[in-house]
Parts: sequence; structure tokens; C-alpha cells
Amino acid sequence: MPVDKSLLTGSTALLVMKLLEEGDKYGYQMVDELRRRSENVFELRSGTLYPLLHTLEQKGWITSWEETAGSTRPRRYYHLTDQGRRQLAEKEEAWHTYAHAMEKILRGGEGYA
Amino acid sequence: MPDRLQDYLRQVGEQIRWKRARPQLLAELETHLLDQRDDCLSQGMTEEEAQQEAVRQMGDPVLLGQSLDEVHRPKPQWGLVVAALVLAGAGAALRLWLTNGWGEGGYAVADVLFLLCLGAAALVGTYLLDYTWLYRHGKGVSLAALALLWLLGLWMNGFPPFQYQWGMLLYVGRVYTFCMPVAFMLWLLPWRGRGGKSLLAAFLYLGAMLLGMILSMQNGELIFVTFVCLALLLVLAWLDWFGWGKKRTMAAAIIALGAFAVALGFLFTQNAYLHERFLVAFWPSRDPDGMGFLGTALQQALQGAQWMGQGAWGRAYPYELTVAEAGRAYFLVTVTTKLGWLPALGIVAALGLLLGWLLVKCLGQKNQIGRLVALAVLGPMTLRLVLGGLVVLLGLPFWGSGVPLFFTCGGAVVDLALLGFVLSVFRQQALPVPGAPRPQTQ
Repeated sequence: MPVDKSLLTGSTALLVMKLLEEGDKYGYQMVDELRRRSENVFELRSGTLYPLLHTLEQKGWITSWEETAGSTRPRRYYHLTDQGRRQLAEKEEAWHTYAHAMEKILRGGEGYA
Repeated sequence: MPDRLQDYLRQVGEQIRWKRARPQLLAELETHLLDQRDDCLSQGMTEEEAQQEAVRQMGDPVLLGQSLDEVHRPKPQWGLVVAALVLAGAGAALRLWLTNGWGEGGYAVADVLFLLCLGAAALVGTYLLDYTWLYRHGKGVSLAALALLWLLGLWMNGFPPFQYQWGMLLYVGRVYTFCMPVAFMLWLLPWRGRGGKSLLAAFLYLGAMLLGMILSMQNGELIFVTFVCLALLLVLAWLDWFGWGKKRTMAAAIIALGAFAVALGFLFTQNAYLHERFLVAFWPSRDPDGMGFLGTALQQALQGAQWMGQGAWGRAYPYELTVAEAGRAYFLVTVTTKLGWLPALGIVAALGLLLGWLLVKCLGQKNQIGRLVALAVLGPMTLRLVLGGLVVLLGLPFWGSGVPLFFTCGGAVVDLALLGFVLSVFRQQALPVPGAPRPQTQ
């Protein structure tokens, strides 16, 4: 089923930070994993990803480091900082509140009786 | 076969102003593109198909470069900001000095100081706001600018019927009109890669702008602004900004330019009043006591000017009461008659050097959006300087809007605000630490 891509807008930072919570990743890995896990619903444009990653880095929510050993290409990995983890928890909570409210409305009043 | 990936990276790199940031950012993107290409190759695509798909997945290189450029910006250029303020300040001081004791045509010290402070705040404000803000809000800003022009025009035509000072509105309209080429450029930039409908959008905006200028009675400025806007459209066509094909877009822009020139030619030859006004603008002696009065007065003032020092004014009636707008639009003529040709030409040279230097520096930038915003500001300003300079050199009042930064204090505020955006093209912020080690927690 085709999904309106605008639904993703505003949640990209949350998705990226959630991916990084499980471990450090590089850009292509994040795009690939997001696509795979969402069963091709979330197609994150690389052109959106990198400016976002660099903005999060400037905010101090993530840091980056370079891996050169053992790889044919030098890769920049991103790492979620403690500050980033706190931000992620807040964003997740806000998202759940939002999703819960949406769910209630979409179910047409179930649970309000 | 051209390497699509390298070409893509080159285009992204051109948008990033901070040279030191470029290699680091491009290396990361290159790794990503190569990973994507390898993935595609493993799925059975050819090298060409794999590269094409990798580039497609990454998105528009200019927009990506622009986004990265917004995050990583160059060093502050406070020297340029101060230079622009010093020039505007010198203009204000000169105006106060030379119009001292003029009464109605002169200026009050408090007013000039207030406007100068306002101009400084506008310059620093727009400099800090950054041109990328203009770009991000391009459509909104350009539509708001158009709405304001229309509101001004409607107000001047009696709607709403509030009390107003008609001369002041006319002056505000004249100053404001010079912002319209920038608004036009901001309207066009977001249409990148959207094909033929972008041109339709361009002409619709231009048409609405023309009507707005007619309503606000900026007829002389209308000709200037329309030619400038069509020239800017031509530049975008040359860059194939809309992705509709360079030749096709250029042909459309040239046809529009030609049609506007023909329409003007028709008006100035077929309408008896406009025809006479056109002739008198270049030969004031045809009607020295009527439409050519200002022209003959300017010529007389300039004929009596010296290289250095106060010139001779051959009429009994005071100069400032004879030459309309001697302290505003024709202030450069006033400088010539009161101080001499050398100081007047010195002012033109100083402004020309500042604008020319900025223009060369901005056009040398690889960052396309910064370059185009700068061109929309500096191009018309430079043209205004040339026209204002020609008024003095030829002694003909065919251009009634003075020179940038020196065109009254209120006009200078708008010019300074626009210059702030241009200077921000060179501005920068911090780059993430390159080659940082793996965090301890890993």
C-alpha cells in the first residue's frame, strides 16, 4: 500500500536516533536498515539523512568517529550520546502520546463510551 | 563514459562554501554512493545503471549541498559589514553637511542618526539571519513581498480610504520597488527542476508584480525592475535551473524580454505624451520651462561645477529650491556643484569598488543559491550606480532614483538590509571534528 511520505517528516530524527540506540552505525547502514525493518515503507533519502546527522551532531545529541582499519573504505560511524538518549526518551514519549491520540480518533470513538 | 558519481559529488561540493569542510563531507557521501552502487551491482545491474540508481537515491545534488552548507558555514566577515556601514555613514554625514540650512529639502540630525542606526541594525540583522533563511522561506517571502506591493498600490488608489501622505507613500513605493528583483529570484529558486510550469509561475509572478508597480505608480522603476527580472530569468535559463532544457528556457526568456522591449517601444512612439517625455528626458532644451525644467537646471548646475570646490550657480532662485530632490535622487549632482567633480566621482568609484568587489567575490562562489541571491541584490544595485553616475556625467535626469546607499537615508536602510544578506554568503559556522576517535563507551 502506498504511504504518504509526509507522514515521515518530523519523525526522521526520532527514527535515526532510535536506530543509533542499538549501536553505532554509518549512513548507508541506517538507510538500509530503516528500509528493511519498515518493509520498504520508510525510504529515507540520503540527501535528507546527512544534513540531519550533522545537525544532530552540532546539537550534541550524537557524535561521529571514523573507522579505517579492516575496511576498504573509511566509514564515519555515528554514536548516540547521553544527551541524545535523554532527547530520544522525550521524543519517544511525545510520539506515543501523539500516536495514542491518533489511534483513538481513527477508531471512531472506541474507548470513549 | 562520464563518472556520474564524481560529477554528482562535484555538484554537491560546489554548494558547500567552507573549503575545509568539503573533503570531509564529500568523502562520507562518496562512501555512501559506492556502497549503494555495489549493492545495485550485486542485484544484477550494469555499472551505468548502478551509478544512476545510486545518484537517484541520494537526491538533488544542489539541494543536498545547500542543506550541508546550511549546517557548515564559513567564518564571519565583520570587516565587510563595517566597510558597508562606514560608506553609508559617510553618505549620511555628507548629506547632513551639504543640505544644512535648506529647510524643507534638508535633513534633521536626529532623523539621519535614527535611520543610520536602523540601517546598521538591518544590515547586521540580515547578515546574522543569513541568506539561507531567505531561500528556505523563498515562496512565502516572495508572496508576502508581492502582497505588500499590491497593498501599497491599493492604498495609493484610495483603498482603504485612510488618511495618508501621498508623497511619502510614493517614496516608500520607490524604495520598496528595488526589493522586487530579490523577491522575484526567491520566487524562482524553489522551482528548481520542475520543468515548463516553472516558467509559467515566473511569468505569472512577473505579471502580478507589474500590476502592483502600476498601481503604486512606479512607472520609471517598473521599466528598470522588469528588465532586471527578465535578465535574472535569463541567468536561470542559462543554468537550466528549471530542468526544462537550456535552449528552450532561454528562448522563452529572450522572447519575453523582446516582447517587453517592443511593448515599451510601442508605448513611447504611439502615445504622444510619453513620446514627448522620452525626448525631453534626453533633450531638456525642447521644453525648458515645462517637462525639461529639471533637466536644464541640472545641466546649468553641472556646467558651473569645478573639479574641486564650490561651483557657480547662475540663477537668482536658490539651487535647492530649483532642483527637485537635490538632497535625495540628485544628491550626487549636489555633491558635484558644492564640492566638485572629483569628490562626486570619488563617491561613485568607492561605491563601485565595494559593489564590484562583492559582485566578483560572490560570482566566484561555487554555491549556486548564494551566488544567485547575491546577483539579485548586487546586479540591480550596480546598475543603479551606473545610471546614477550617468545622470551626473551627462547632466540628464532620465534616472530619478539616485545611487544605492546614497539614495536618501530611508533608501539606504533597505540597501543595507539587502547587503546584509549578500555578506552572509561568506559567513560560516563550526565543522564537526574531523577524524574523531571512537567514543570510550563503545
